[in-house]
Amino acid sequence: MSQTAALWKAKIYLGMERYQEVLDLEEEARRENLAIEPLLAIAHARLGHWARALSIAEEALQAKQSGAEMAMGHVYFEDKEYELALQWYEAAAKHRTQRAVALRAAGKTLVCLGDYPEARAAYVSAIRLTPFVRPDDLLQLAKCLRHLQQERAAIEMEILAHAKE
Amino acid sequence: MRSEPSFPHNAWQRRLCRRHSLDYTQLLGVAFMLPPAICSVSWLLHGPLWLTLVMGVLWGTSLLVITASMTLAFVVTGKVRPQALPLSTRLNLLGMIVFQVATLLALLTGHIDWAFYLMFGLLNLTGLLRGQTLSFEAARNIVFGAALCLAFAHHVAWLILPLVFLQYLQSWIIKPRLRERIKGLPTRVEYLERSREACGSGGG
Repeated sequence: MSQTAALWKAKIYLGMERYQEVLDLEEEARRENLAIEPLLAIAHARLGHWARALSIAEEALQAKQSGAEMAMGHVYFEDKEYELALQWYEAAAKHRTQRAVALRAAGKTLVCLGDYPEARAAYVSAIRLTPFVRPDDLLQLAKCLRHLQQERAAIEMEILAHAKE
Repeated sequence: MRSEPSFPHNAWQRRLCRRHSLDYTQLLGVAFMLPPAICSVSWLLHGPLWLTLVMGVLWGTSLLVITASMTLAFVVTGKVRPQALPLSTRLNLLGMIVFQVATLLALLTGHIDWAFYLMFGLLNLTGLLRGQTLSFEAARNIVFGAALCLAFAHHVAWLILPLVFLQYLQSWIIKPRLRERIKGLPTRVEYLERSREACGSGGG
């Protein structure tokens, strides 16, 4: 297996919500000296191991690992600390390569905070930055628009989401 | 960062950071464009000779560096990894090299006006040659290019610098409507297919 295979496997498992399998890769990653701590922190947070998740994410942050800010955001999000989560997503959004993902997460957090105008702005920025259409983004934007009494624009987004599936 | 944020999430500073992010490459673009713009305005207004000369030298040096890098990329990539340079890319690169050399020659022969029209006018018109349809970005560049050339031709010097700034920061300010942007984007499957094709042809 190539050196980065474990890293990609962890990313894929995380996307598939197979969190235990992400954690199972910890030993392998350590042997191969791979920095998968941000992914481990997210998996721990999603499994409810909040304290462990936070300590791993903080370690990743100290080691200046890529994705550490996103992991901090996810850890706080899972703990329903939305203001703190948002702050970390904003920090992650400063990195050009993570901006779209971070703004998408910020949009989700702003919805939890009940700030629909700002959530709409975050989703719009994420959509503009992503090189392909993610129907889920359009549906989330439609939800925000509906909360803002923009029914027509919401329907339009839903139609576009179905057309681009 | 366990402590509560210093500003609430809806503070204007945080709203601004979430909505806008200035890309460093855009700032670099502005930095590269400033010497040509200042040199041209100074030449147009018969300003201090030292300013025209210093900015002209900076302009010429940046042109020389860009042309040398492009030529090196063209020659080296063409020899080492020819499949990475499809014919269309090769022609584009060659066209850009010819363009830069022409601007450099105009500058060296003291034809600042020719160099200005080449750099700010004709370069933007190349958007017309790319692809079957005119993209929003290409149309925007053509409008800015035409405005810059008209301002220069009619000696409206005060307009040139703001226009140059606007041209390079335009994508930050002027955006296409979201609906149009979404309609123009590929689906995930289409995007993956295109990426695979690009990888297959050696350009990915």
